[in-house]
Amino acid sequence: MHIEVSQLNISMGDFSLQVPQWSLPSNSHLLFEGPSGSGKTTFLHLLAGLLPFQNGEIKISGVSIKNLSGHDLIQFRRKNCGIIFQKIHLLPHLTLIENILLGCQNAHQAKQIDKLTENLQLTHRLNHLPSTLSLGETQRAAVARALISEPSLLLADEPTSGLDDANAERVMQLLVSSARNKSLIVVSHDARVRKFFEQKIDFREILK
Amino acid sequence: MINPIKMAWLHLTRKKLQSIVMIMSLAMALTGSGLLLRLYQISESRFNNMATNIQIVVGPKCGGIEILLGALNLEDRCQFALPLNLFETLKNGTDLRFEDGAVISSAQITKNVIPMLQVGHFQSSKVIATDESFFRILKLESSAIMNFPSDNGLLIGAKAAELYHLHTNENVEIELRNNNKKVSLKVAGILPEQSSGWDYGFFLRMESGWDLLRQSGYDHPIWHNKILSFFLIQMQEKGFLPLKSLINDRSVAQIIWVNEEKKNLEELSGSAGNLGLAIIVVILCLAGFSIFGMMSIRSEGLRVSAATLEAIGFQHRFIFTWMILESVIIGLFSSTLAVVLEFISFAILKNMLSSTWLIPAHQSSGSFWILILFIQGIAFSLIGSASSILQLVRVSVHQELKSG
Repeated sequence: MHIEVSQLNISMGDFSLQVPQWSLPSNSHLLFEGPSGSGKTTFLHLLAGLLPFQNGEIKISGVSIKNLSGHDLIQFRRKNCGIIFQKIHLLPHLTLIENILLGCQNAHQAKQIDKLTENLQLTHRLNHLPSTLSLGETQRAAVARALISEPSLLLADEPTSGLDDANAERVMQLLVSSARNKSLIVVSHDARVRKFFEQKIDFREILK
Repeated sequence: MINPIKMAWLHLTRKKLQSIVMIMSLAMALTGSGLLLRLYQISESRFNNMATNIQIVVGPKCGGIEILLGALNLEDRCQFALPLNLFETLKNGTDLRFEDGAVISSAQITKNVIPMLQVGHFQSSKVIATDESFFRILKLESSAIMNFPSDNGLLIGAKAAELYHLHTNENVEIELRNNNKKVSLKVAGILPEQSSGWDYGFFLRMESGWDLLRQSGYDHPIWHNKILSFFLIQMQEKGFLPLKSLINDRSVAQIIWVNEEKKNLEELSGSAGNLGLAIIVVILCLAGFSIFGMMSIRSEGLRVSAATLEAIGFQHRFIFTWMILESVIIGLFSSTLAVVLEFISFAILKNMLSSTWLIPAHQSSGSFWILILFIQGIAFSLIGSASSILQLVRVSVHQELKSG
């Protein structure tokens, strides 16, 4: 998915974010780096339409997300975006498999769950509640939830935090391979992630 | 794939303690308010069921309210005896002569004097001996008096017949007042409904009543079996004060002005000023605020979940439906529990009240109260959670996901 951002300007209290012009061609994989508090997560949320804005424009495959109604924006996100949140955000009252199935839009996607959870070594934990799982396991479940719908735009905020080397490697390989011929934007401080990206940008570079 | 009802069910069943506490709280509030409402209704029926065309009741010296409830509601109160001669003097319109020489002409002040003698009971209904004058005040002269049996037959009130499924010519076993001995009497007729406490009574002739008392071995040291429990008087108000002064001060009897005692009873039972209703409203408000508070706390914990769902593509409608269904389920479970609790508590309460008074036993109309409890339960759950639900569907996704 081709992403275009122009004259984006948002202020929230003391925090402000201004992106004059930025774009990402279709099917690109990009790693955003940068210090904490620079606005990487906020920018990712803006791209996903999770944060309303008044000034500027964000277009995804030519669709201006600012002009979409609330209902259409959620629909657009469900159809096109897979998001891995910085704080994981599994629903605490659902088991791991139920959390992953939240990402499914049809029965065909649901059939992929076995393969996906096997790749992420979660098969034996599928019927556990998040509170009984390790941080790494919940992180991998969040990755599975984002990937299960095979979205054309993957947005991942610190997807390897809390993972050991082996699992970080596994998650990144899965993300990159799942995003083949799709767009992938990852925000991370993790040095282990760098090797998976040819295109790496210090987030501050796109700011005014 | 997950739908809102499954989501609601899983959320409730996997947060067991929280859900149980909520359901119990709502159920107990519903039970409390339901019981109070029923008590209020019963208390009101005490006044609604009293005969309206009696101005005065004379009974033994046992308190005005006791006499009122015993005579006009046939409650099991004031079991002492009255001498027959006082009644006969008033009935015959002769002069009343007292020990101190005072004389009053009863014919000038009384219009109708009706005897009542509690002979015994059939289950919780009282068996009362009386005469034809009783049916005149019920305006039943022609039919009832014609059917009033000269032998040991009974006329029974319409509600009593309905309650015990009794029919004409059926035999019933009456338990006598004095020694609990049982005698079999035939139902000679069923009185038309009067919408009063007397609808629950069994009636026989005075002579039969005295005869049954004698059979039971009752023997008053002075009056033997020629006694009455009460007698009712229809009269002018102007004659009340001299009669009151004479009877209350100079005889073993006590005279009451019905309206005055009704007012005393109303004040005593808290019906005055709709105090009962006010308490019910307070309890319901308390229940509403409790649910509101619990739902608010619950929704605080759900803000991140709601934001997550919206972020991964679930419409507000899904979150709204989930929350509404959860409230409905809480309401349904609370109401079901409240129905059970209310059923048990009301049975105990009814038993306590029915030991002296039959009407409460006949009051419950199960399906009506169950319906009321279910409507209340669901309404309270929905109203209590309404603002929380609105907050959840308007949650700031970015803020919640970042800080949650």
